[in-house]
Amino acid sequence: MKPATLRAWSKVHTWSSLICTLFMLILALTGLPLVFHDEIDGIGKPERIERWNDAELVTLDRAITAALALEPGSVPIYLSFDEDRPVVNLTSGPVGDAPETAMRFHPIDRRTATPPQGDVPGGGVMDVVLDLHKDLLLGTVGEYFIGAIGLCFVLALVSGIVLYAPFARKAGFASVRKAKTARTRWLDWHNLIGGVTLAWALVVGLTGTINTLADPITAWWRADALAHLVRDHAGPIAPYRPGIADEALRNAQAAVPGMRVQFIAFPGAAFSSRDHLAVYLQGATPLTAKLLTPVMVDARTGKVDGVAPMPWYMKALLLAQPLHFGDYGGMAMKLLWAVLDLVSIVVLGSGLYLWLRKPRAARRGRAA
Amino acid sequence: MRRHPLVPIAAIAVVSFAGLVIGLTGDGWEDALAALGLALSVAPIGVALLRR
Repeated sequence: MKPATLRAWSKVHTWSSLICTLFMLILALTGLPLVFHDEIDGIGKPERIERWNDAELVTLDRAITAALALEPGSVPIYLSFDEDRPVVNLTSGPVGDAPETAMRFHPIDRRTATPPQGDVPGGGVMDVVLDLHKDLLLGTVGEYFIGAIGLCFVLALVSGIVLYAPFARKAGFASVRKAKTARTRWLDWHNLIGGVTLAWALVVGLTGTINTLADPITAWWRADALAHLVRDHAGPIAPYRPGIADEALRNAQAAVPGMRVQFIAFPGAAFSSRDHLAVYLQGATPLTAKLLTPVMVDARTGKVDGVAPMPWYMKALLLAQPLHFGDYGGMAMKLLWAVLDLVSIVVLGSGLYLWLRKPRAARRGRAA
Repeated sequence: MRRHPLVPIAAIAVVSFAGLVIGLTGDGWEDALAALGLALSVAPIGVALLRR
């Protein structure tokens, strides 16, 4: 590589790293507890195996009515299902297309049609950590900003590898010159850790950026794949009528047999249309369980209007979530994810140290 | 023939990325493979720490 090209890549690496380092440190620190969010959420809760008889459970619509009674005047937006207990979670709001900030969350136990006993209202500290990680508590603007930081991080990784190639030719792979000065040692550690964790860091950086684009990707999907099912984009949102949720689920599962429900989006919700309940079904295998199939059910008649297989960009969005958090492969994967998160903090810190300890003449020379 | 200096890093990256993707497809040996791929990423750090 020509010296001028090398200098240009060095500039790209320095500035893309400097722009993202502080924010990446925040993301790495908040991401660490999020890897173990299931375990942290379970602290202090008694571990018990729930048993129930399906025949004794109240209908979905009875549970929805019970949840709506807790927030008079609200309408259903989403209904999700707990896996290990017969509890449904209703997200409601003043209108079907209410913004996220106006939504309320009400779990209902289908054995009693009341909120589950022992559940603490509110999400607790892990919800705050997730919001900080997702958008720095700045909402949509923060989310897009984090997406841009993710792209800067990817650029820093790519430029780092370009710079590492000539270095590795001289020093060899995975060598740390322990007898040299502190700056040389930290340069070697920075190169070694940055190099061997490249794939993980690229996956986490890219999937994190994809996750920040969830809203525009979903909006595009509505306008693209769902367009032929939506009759009137500006029309009124079909009102909820008791009985429709059970009917929609029954008809959706009859249309796509062998799949189980993951959640239902009511008319007006981002994941539905103004005239439909979208019943999201998942497959039985670990992979198909992550890739959802929405069945669009007419909110007035309860008839299935169509099955809308997810296009590639929605599949990418759905797979980006487990790939970002590393919570799909058991405790061994979570522990390794945590180790990789910690060593990425070392890479960020050492990079900053190397820049601060760079000889002044070299820095001036580069600037000139 | 002289080996390209990025070969070891590329090999580790390919194996750990393949492990991550395969890990998505199942809950048994697939998860073990994903963990193995990630372990391969951190192993050189451990070796360098132990080396005098």
